[in-house]
Amino acid sequence: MFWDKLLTFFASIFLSFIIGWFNFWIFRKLRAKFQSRVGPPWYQPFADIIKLFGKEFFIPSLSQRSIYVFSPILSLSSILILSFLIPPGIPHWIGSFTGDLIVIIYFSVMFSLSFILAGVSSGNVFSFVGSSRETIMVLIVELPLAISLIIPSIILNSLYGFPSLSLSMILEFQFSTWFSIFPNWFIFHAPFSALALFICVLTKCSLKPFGDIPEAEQEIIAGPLTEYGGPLLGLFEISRLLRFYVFPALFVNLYLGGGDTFIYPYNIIIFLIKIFIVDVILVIVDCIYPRFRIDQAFKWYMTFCLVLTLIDLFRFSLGVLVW
Amino acid sequence: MIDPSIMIFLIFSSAVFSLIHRIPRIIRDFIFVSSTLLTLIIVIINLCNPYTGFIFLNMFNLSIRVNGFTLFLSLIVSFISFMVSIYSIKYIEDEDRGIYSFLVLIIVGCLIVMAFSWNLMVLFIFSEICIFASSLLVTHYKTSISYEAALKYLAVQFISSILILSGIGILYDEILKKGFYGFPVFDLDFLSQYLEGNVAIKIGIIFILIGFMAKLPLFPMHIWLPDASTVCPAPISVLLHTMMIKVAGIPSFLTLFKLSNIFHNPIILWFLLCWLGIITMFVNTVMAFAQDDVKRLLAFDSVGQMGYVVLGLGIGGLGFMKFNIYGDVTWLEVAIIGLSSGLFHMFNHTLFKSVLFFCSGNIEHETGIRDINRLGGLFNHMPFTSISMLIGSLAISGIPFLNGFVSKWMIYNACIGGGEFIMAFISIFTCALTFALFMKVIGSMCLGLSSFNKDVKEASNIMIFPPILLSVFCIIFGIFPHIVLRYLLYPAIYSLTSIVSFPVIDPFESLIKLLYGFFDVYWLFSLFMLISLLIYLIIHRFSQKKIPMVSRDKYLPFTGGVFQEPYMVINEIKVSSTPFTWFILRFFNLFRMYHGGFINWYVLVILTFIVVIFTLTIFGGV
Repeated sequence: MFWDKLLTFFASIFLSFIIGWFNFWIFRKLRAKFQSRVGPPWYQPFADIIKLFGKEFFIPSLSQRSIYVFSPILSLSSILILSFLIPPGIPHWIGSFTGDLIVIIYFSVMFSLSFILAGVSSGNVFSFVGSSRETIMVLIVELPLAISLIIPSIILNSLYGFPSLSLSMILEFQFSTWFSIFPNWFIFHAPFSALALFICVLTKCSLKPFGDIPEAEQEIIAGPLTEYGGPLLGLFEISRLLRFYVFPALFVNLYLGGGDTFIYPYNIIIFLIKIFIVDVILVIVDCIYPRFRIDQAFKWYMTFCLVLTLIDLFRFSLGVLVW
Repeated sequence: MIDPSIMIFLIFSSAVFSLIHRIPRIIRDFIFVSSTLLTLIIVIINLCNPYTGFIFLNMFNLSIRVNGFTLFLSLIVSFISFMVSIYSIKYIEDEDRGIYSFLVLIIVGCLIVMAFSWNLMVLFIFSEICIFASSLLVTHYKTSISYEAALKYLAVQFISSILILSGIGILYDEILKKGFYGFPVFDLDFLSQYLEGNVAIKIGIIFILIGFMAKLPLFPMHIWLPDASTVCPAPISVLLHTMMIKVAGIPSFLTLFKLSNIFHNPIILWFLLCWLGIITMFVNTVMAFAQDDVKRLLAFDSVGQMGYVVLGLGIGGLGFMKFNIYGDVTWLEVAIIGLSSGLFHMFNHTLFKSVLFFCSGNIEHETGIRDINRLGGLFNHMPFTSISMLIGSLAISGIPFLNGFVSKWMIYNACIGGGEFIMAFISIFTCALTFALFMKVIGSMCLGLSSFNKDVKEASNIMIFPPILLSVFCIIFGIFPHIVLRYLLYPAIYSLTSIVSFPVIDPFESLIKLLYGFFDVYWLFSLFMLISLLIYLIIHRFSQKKIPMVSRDKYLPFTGGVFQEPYMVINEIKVSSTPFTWFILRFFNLFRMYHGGFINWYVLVILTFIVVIFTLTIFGGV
């Protein structure tokens, strides 16, 4: 059992790294196209990381050394655990268990924690301000994210009478068809909270309208990562690649039906295509919108997103207007 | 197999001994530490093999009993009092040490009696002694602020004591009519057998409930705690926050749990208790944002964490009542998960909050500053204190692989399993608030910009031992939560529900199913450590052998090109903690208006609260 898990773990790391790389490249290329540039070649993310690992191992003089070195490691290991916990469109995933949705919320908090610790321990004013912004972003994303992650389990409870907090179980129930024609994706049952989760995924991927606030280049040089360079920054770059797989994969599994079929090689391919589409939409939103101020972000999340999720929450928990 | 009355005698006799004038200081310290250590040893022996014979103190009708629940509470008391006694050797260095150790030992003894007894009258009397002793300890520094805090403390406690006493009087009047009299009739098991539901008894029980809630403390009655724990020495803050509010407040839960059968519709009461817990946790965590004094911040947050405990216990009680009514097994599972999560969070809160208070005491002892905004970058000066403070903060904000995460995760599971989604979401959001709050604490005290405190040294070894030991326990119980579940919580719930054999399911099996089968903490953690180690080794491969800390421009902080003298002196830059908080506080000014600091206003609100609860319960068909 243990070796199975270990093998699956390394396989999922490999998959998420490849997909994250591809999606990150697509992100940069598309953004360049939107801005009338040529854009980087396909190997550019990997080349960046290789270059960073060749640089000097660098610790600034005013930093708290051990935390400064520890936080990139924390970042990468927490995002790797997340990439293992989220199934690649397959039910009966080996890393799935009851209550894993809440565990996923807390590992994503742990991922943000690594950025906060990085900024706070580097002894720089800009990184300190960046960390405080990152903290506030965690705080304001948490409520809509938690509600929109748990709403699929409420849907299961109200439609099938089968409460479950397991991501794998939620995935399995979406594989049936609806009126024998439409796929039974939960985005059709709860479109509002799907939209809210999409906006949360934007922030978690650190994309434009809100997610860019902690590392606003024009205001605070690079936010929490201002002092970082060399291999430590390389670790942060790898985790930036991986979150282009992890958070869209969460969205696809919860609301877009994952792999959509039980047949083995096809479900992963369908799943990857869906992630690609979600990523393209994310990039388009990122290119269209400017960066908002942090209080505007708070208003958006606490009015727009929260109301969206609450509509679905009350619809399903009271059992009115349920389809 | 040791009579628990031995340790009560031990504690009280060493309390009296420490009053003797002119004994050498080392002997006094030795007696202080050894009496609490012996207490801890006796409790652990009893946990391994509970005492079943005749208890000597029951000759005086104290209704002392040895079961899982009482041993759980007394383990908390004895363990933390041992830590407090070690810590106070160095921390309290003035002339009043005899009085100090006398009062601390008196409080510990009273709390142990309260932990072991389920007799309402005994609980009342010993909590009164505790209040007098601790109000004397609150005024230990004899400043005007401390007298004001003690006054506020006593005012709220007297309201609660009057309520408890009048409730006990009403119950005694009813029980006299049945022909029983004397001290032992106040035993909760006895009361639950012989009381019958009429309006007077319901009123009496609700009085007792509200009275013990003020000691817990729940929402409108919590104002005594932050004031009292700010002005007193750090070990007394630990004593107040980790032992007193738990042992003196848990009777409100016990009374409701044992006497639920008297009420017509107890589900309303449990529901009310859950919502009171939620309001308490939310209001106090938001209020903690407004504080710059680190002890005051921790105190407000402590009340918030007690809200979590009350929520878990309330969900457990709700599930138990519904199981009694509907007979559905899933409700029993919800009850067991809820009760164990509440008790587990209480245990965890004991660990991490004492770590945080000890660390803040160390920092105050070494720098003389409690203001967060005036501290910074203490990690390089006080590494052990800072690391244990970091672990405590991460544990309290529910980061995985630390103990706070497991109990919070169980609370959310209980809420969602019980169908109370709104409660689950509010508590998840409150957990995020706690996270942000402790990022503020860590970012501006331990880590962050080291602007000054150049010649600050680490505290003495005796003072860093308790926080380090407790933070190691935080990690251990985060990775192996089944230790607590098996040896502490399972016997506690077993003795609490007093079902000799559970009718349908084995509660421990269902807990194990929840915790082992699915959240397999071991291998997730081992995976985590494996990855971290691998990454570290890869990184280490690239690192140079020794990095000289020369003050070249390259190693100085990056300031965007501006580092000449007239613009920005790099070593003196300090950002206060306001960027973490300004923005939340703008939205919650209402809560700050309530905490205005006027005792008359507080008493008015508390009385209104009592009337409202009273009306709701009596006329709400309870």
